[in-house]
Amino acid sequence: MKTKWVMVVLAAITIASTAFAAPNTATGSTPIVATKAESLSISASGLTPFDLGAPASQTLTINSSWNLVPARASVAICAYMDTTTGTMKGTGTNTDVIDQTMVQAKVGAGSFANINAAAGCGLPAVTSVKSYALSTQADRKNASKTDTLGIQLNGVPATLQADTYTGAITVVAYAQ
Amino acid sequence: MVLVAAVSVPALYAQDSLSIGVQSTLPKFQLTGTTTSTNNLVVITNWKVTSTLFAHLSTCAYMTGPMTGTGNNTDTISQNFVQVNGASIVTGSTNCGIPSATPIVTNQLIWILGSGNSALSGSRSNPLGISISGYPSNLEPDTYTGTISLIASVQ
Repeated sequence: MKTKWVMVVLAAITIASTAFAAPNTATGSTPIVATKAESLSISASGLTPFDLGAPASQTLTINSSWNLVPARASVAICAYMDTTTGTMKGTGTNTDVIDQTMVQAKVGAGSFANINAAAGCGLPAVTSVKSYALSTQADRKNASKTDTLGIQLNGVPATLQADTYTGAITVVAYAQ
Repeated sequence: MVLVAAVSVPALYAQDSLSIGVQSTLPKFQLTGTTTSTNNLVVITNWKVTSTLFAHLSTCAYMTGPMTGTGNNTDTISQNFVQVNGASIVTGSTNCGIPSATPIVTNQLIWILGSGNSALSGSRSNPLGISISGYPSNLEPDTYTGTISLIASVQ
């Protein structure tokens, strides 16, 4: 009887050690995905009040910066005057205005033209200041640019009421 | 007796099974600072061992490459920045036979008299807290994709 038990145990140990002489292995995998959001900003400065008695052109400085995904191909910089919210208006009960048809812009060495001259930046009527191609990572990543735009008033009626007229030029950075 | 054991092994060995996977894939991590939030990854291991009276189960997770972006983005997130339960998935030690793998289960005994996780046929779920920490703050905005590999072994 004792001999039989020893033989059974020996058999079991033999089976165990033989079956897993090589490891039984399984593998799997799962994706890990992370996203970093892009950013795009723009601001403008540099204009001082125009003297309507002797209006001279001024330079608008436009600063833009971006950090964009590889799928982006370009960034366009534009400026325009909104026909309702941008119109230069006086104070109090003064109903006179200086509208967008009297505001002109000039890019580089070009000529002054109406600030809402043509389509650009996905909008129907703007001045296109600059377009930047984004062909390399350096073009897209943490980029900062400064552009300038000449601004002048032209065709302002001489009969305007004496007042301070305030409006808004909108600048746009458009990535696509 | 020795002859009986040797003949039985091939038939029993064929019935063994072992698999490892995940309950569901990880949600996307948002790269906003230099450390992400932690997301849960549940690793599921199933085994059925019929060819022995006892064995040992080990499972590990590891990455063999960095997380890469799209297009001509040359930025990457090294696997060293991927963390499991607060420590890098790259351990510097060989586990499950894989260099630098993170051990999930280490030599758990499974045997004929065991029950639950100790039985010769069973499964277990191991939740892992996955995060990404220490990656460069100036990464290009993009979607970065990598692979976490899993391995289970019974020996």
